[in-house]
Amino acid sequence: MRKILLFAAFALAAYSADAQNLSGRDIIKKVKDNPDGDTRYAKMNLVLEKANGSKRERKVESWAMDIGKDTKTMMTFTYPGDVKGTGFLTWNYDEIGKDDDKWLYMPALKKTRRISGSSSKTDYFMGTDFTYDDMGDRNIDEDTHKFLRKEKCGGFDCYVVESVPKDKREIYSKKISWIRKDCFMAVKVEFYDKLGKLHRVLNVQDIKQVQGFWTRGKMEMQNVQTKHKTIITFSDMKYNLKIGSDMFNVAKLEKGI
Amino acid sequence: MNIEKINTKFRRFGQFVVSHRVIVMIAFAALLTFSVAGLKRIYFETSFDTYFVKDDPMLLKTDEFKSIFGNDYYVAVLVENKEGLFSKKNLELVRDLSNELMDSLSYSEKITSLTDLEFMVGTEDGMELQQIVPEVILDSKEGLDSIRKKAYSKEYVSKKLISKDGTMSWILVKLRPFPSDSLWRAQGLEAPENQTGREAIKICTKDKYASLNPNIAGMPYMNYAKAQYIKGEMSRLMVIAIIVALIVMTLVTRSLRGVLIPILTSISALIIAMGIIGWLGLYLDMSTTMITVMLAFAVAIAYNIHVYSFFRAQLIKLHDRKQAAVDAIAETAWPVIFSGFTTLAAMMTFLAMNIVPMKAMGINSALAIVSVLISILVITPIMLSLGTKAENNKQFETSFEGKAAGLFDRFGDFVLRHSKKIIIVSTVVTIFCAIGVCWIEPAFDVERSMGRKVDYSRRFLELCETELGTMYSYDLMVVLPEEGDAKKPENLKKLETLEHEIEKYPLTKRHSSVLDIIKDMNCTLNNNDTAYYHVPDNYDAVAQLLLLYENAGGSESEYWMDYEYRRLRLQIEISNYNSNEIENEMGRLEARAKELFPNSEVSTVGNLPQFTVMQQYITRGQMWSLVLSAVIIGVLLMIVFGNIRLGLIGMIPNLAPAVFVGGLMGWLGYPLDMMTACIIPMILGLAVDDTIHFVNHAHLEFSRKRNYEHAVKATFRVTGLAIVMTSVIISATFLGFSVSDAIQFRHFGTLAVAGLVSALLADLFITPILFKMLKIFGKEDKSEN
Repeated sequence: MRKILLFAAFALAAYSADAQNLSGRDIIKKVKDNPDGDTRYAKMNLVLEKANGSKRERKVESWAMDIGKDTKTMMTFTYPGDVKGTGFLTWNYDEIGKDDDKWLYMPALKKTRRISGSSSKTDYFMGTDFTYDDMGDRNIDEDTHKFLRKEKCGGFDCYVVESVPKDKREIYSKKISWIRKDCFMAVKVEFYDKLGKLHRVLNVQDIKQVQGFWTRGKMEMQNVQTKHKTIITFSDMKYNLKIGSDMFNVAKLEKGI
Repeated sequence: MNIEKINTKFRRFGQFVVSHRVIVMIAFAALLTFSVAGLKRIYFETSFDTYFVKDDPMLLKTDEFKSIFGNDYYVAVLVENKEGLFSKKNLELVRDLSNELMDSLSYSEKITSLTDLEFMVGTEDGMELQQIVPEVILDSKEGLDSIRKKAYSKEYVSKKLISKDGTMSWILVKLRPFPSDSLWRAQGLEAPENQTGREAIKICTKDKYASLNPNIAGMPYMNYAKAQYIKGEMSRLMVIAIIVALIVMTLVTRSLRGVLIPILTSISALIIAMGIIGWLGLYLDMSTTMITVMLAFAVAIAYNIHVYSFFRAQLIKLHDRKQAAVDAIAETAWPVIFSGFTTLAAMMTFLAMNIVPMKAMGINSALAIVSVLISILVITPIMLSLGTKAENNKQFETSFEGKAAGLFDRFGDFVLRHSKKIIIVSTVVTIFCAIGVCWIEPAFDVERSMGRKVDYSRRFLELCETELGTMYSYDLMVVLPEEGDAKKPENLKKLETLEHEIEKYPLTKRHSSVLDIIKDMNCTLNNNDTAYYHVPDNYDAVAQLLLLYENAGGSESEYWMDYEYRRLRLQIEISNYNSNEIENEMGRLEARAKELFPNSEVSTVGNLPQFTVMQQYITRGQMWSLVLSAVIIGVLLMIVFGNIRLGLIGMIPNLAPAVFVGGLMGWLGYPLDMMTACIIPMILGLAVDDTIHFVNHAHLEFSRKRNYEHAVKATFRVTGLAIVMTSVIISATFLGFSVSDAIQFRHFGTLAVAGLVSALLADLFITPILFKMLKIFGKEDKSEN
């Protein structure tokens, strides 16, 4: 009995220490600050799947560069054939309230169009189940973070953090993230809707180190209410490529990479 | 069939029940308790989809459609303010209501409203996804005028969303797919459709939104409102039925016991039946449950009257309650059970209909009738046997029953004397009605089934008549041969041709398809130049426009084109309903689409095709049910009378009310719907009861003196009052329907009463004549006379 009490006291102390040392915000900040090089490249395979099993597949090549706290991304569609060569350029700003800049180049129309504004409250990324925020460009202070507990998830020791958006117009009322303790990468995130019901679940797999950087290999986001899901698989990841900021402008978008 | 033997068995049964009253009552109470527990498991279906049997082609087609394009049910709210919606206060209210609907409806997926719209605007260097109404609404003329200008800047958007005078606008909530029935039932949750309708009403009836006069439409709301209305109506009709039954039974029995027993039996029977339905998880929907409940109530009272009449006559003669109760069971149990089985058999013929609620009504009514029979065989003899031995010293001749018997004796005489005239009149009426049968047509629409006196129905019909309102919609689904074909400009242009053609159809009010998005994107991409409001000629250009649309945050294209780009959807909304015209228009559209897309699969889906198929099922099912019930009842009559000829003759007075009801429907223009379709088989099942009682007794009387005139008059004397009273009671129970505000119920009530009265008249006037004319029991014995 004494041993049990001693163990419980030790566990409680360890828990408190951990919780005191790392607040919810600290953990999320560590996730956000995870090193990912100044520039990076990946091939992405996007599969959108409906509840009835019908699929839509797209392949893109993506280059990204950090400029201060902002990120510029250039994506080129390689599949299917009818959108091959279509380029998508985004400038994502860290500043809260500042809208991203987006341009799309359509080779068939030989036109580039800047896309601004957003469609009401659902700003999803290219028709997927991911919002632009989910893709990683959300400022950590747009949410209030709370450390909940530590638990295993997918075989890894994780911190569980609850994040509640400060802006009530967000599409979710809260999200709960399971963050791996060893690499500060989220392995699972649950998104809850305005009525507090589970809406979407993100599962991240195949987390590995590439050139010394922790990298996600596969992300699967499922809308549990509609049963629609999106699977993004990354391949050929490269970091710190020698590319300049001139790669991320409209002229380059039209010219192609 | 040896009736004497059967009666002896029932005598033994009656004796057992009367002498073991306490044990039998305990067992019955246990059955009731078990049933009460089952009541909690009852759930009511409201969705139109559940009307189709599991593997019905229309249901499979609808399910396939939903799995591709999502839930085709939606919540639509028409907001209206006579002073105009373009004021700061009203626009903010529209936004609040839109947001609340989006956030508080459990199944909302996407909202489209004046304040929440995918509104693409071409700019100098690109395009902007804007809102018509900005976050901050300026309360100035300029600010509001700019909003108004933007709202009307795209005609193809504004004509679907805002009225020309700016006083009305739609808020449309697209719903995510509902979970399967097994899922929400297993979790003990409310039906998603019901929940959506209820939540929509809760939001829209808030005082805050009163100045917007929100008027809700869409299937979840309509079905919920209908279920609520029927629930209220069912309680009202039940109260009317009980009051009427109390009055009639008081007049007939003039005894507290005579009133209480039938009420007690019918309530117990209903609890048992509903309890079993709950335990077995059987299908129930409001409209058909009403019929089951009222039918069970009516037959419980009617059967009791037969038992009670005999009991009373015996009591007057024997002055012994227990003996009279046993005698009543011995003599009436078999005809009552047989009557129950004929009604049950008639109701079971609904299983021949390919419609779930009709099948369910057959099974549920059968269960209810069995429960009625159990209750009568148990409660009635026990209740009748309770009390002191002798009641009074009244003589039969001076009693009400005795006087009535004398009256019926004279009536029998009258009928036999005027047999030729009666046959001529009956033949003329039957021919007249048979002609009317040809004019019957089915209808499922709100206007003809519920009408304008019912609040939710009136509001919906008024909404349909507004500039923005539409009544129903249907979809054309084109499945092209190869993946990606839906993006081909030539196919999109064919779809456009179809759109132009359907605009000329009389019922078409609006249409929607992916063309709205593609043409809008092309136009927006070219600086809002309306000259570009067309489908691009290049395949890749279409694909890239759609990609641009998605990347800009657009999400509606998947409602109109599937993921493989093989299927195209064209939705047509209609302004008013005409069953023949809409069937014709859908047929024309399908034929034309097949012509334009020769190697593709083309089909119409949605509510209207479902209505049309359902109408076909009900028309065909009605015929089958009628034929089957006639055959089954005919066979049962042959068995019970032990004579084929007698069985066939017994059918004549019972087919007459079927023709009469059918004729009435045709001549009065009453459409065939889920309720009126029940009437003829139900009447057949009920009408035959009187024939059985009459023929049974007549057979007995004939065997005594072998004289038809004597047999007829004696039968009238003994069973006449009970036959008339049962018909009066059942008619009175159904009469409550005829004062309902809902057209469907009024029709049902009127036709049921007309059917029952015509069946009674046929039994009173035709049966005895056929009896004598056709000498159905054999030759008379002149010496006896």
